[in-house]
Amino acid sequence: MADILLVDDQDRFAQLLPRAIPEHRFLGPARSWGQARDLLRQERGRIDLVLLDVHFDIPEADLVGFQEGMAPKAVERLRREQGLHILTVLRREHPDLPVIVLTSREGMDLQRLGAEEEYTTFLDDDDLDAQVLRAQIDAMVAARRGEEIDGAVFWGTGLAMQRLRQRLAILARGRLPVVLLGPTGTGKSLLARHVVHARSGRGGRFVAVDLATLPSDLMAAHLFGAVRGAYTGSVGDREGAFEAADGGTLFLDEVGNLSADAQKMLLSVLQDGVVTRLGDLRERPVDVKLVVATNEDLAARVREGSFRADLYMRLNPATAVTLPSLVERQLDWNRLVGFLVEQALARPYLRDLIDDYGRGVDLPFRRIQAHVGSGMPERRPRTLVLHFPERTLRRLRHHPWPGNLRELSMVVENAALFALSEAIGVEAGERPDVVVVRKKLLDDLLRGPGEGVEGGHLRMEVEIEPQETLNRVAVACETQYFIKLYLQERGDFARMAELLLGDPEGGRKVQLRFNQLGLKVRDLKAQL
Amino acid sequence: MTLDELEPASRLALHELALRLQHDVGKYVTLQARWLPADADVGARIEAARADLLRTARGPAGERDAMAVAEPFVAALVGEAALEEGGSVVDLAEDPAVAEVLAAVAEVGRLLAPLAEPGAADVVDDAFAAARRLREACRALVAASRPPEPSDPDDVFFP
Repeated sequence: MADILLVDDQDRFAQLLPRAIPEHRFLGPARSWGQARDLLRQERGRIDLVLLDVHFDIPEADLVGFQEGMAPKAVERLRREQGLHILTVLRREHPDLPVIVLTSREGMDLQRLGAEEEYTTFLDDDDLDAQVLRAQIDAMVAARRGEEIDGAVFWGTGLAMQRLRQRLAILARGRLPVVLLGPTGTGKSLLARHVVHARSGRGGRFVAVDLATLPSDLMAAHLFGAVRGAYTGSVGDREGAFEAADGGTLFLDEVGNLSADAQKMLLSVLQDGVVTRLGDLRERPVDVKLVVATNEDLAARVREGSFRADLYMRLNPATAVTLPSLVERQLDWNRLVGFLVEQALARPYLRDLIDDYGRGVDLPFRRIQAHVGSGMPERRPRTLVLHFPERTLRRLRHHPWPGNLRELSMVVENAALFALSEAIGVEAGERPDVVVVRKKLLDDLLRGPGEGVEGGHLRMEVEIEPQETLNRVAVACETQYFIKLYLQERGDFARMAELLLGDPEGGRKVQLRFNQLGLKVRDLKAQL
Repeated sequence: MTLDELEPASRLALHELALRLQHDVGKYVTLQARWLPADADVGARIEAARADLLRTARGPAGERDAMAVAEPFVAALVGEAALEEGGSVVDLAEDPAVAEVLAAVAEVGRLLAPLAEPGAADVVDDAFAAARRLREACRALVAASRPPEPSDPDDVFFP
């Protein structure tokens, strides 16, 4: 469920939306920028998206941009474009809050008003219906929730993830620190912001500090603040991260990197609830929900003496939450991929590509959907489908994903980008409304530095599927690496022989084996 | 007078008026109808038609039906009011695109009273059809009134 603020001087949408899209909570309507600003402040960052009308038939004094002495015609224009003026001021206070502007673009000077930007979508409400609006809301909310790691909070149906979700919701409300453990890319910072902070009920800011990127001699000043002259180069008083997060949440990523001094000072803050800037005597009370994350074994660091035992105990390690790696989340694989595809498709630069593709096939697409798995998707009016067939999904599933969710998210976005780019200008087939992401594209995207010639050795991934006999498994593997090698070496059998036999004169032997495997040079040449 | 006989400034004023008409009237007379599920019962259909046509504008200032919202636009189209404040007054009733808007508004107007009555079920389909006709007429007027693109690139003015 998302919390959506409706900014509209009329009641039409306020009455319609809760009935038509009951899965989301609609607030408002705010009938002017003043009311919208008040509601945004009251809700303290809990608004996921704003739905904004453009024409506001409201008193002059409530109009953004109104000046005494304005000509009646200028006031009328201001009313007609008021939503875009609201958008401009909204962006100053909430630069990354997604906004759907309910208007057709015709007759609007959007560029002059600076309304063309990321996080803003214009929907022509002349054609709007519940399905279109729901899809747009879901895509924008999903993209917003995932932006911290270029992935998303995707809980899935697995019992472990559901337990983790409940546990975090409970820990978020408590006063004690929260420890997030897990491999890189599993979404620790995302959960800190969008789950712990969001559900803490705290009105202050969310402040994130990556301790892996802070020089150890500046760490204490960055976290706790400093007064002028406290250290070389300290030219003025500065507030630290703890003070900035007062009333809110402080997220310390890679907490194992805390310097010895900073560990001591952090312990003091946790014990006494006060922070003292470097070089200062004054204690400043702070009320901060602390979330720390690491992919190190902190208990082992305590045993070896590089992390303070008393600080470790203060961090509340008994309730530490461990995030699973991506390969442990196979249960929801297809839905997770579908979710990430929809997220990627909401990105503005991909929207432009989709528009280009639509013009090429003479189909103006209004909706974009992901279809993940076997079977062709149903044809729907004005809907473009990005299809990840089963074979492509298998390729994704068999990848080791050392970068976890972050890596998968990037690969999916790249797959969408390349599939759409390659489809532009190509003669459309029977289903121009479907763009298929082929396994070969994933092969290219996933090859990465793990494959190729490295230090005189050839590294190559092959995909193993069950066969009737071991001999068939061996043939399937050999066939795959012969194809990869042929494509990599652009059909040069001498070079292939050099890599396989250490003898460039052995090209004939390689070609013979090639034929025995039933591989056709003519077919492969077409792929070069 | 027809649209093609208008001076460029009046043509532009008319186009802006048509955009406002489409915004204020055209899209809202079919809003709830478009959001109805395919299997909506007659009660829901009547409620949607009444919301669209009897409460076309609704906010803190009160409610106005489609005729009341369309009235100032109709007055400007038939020469009873200026196309814009201080602008020219022209009677465009004989233009085909304007005539269709006027006819569609009149048809909606005829249906408002029966739609408000208890026997509204008899006219709800007609009301939906009239609302769609008005929406399409507004769109057609926007398209017809759009000022022509300059044929010579040198005519384009870059401020």
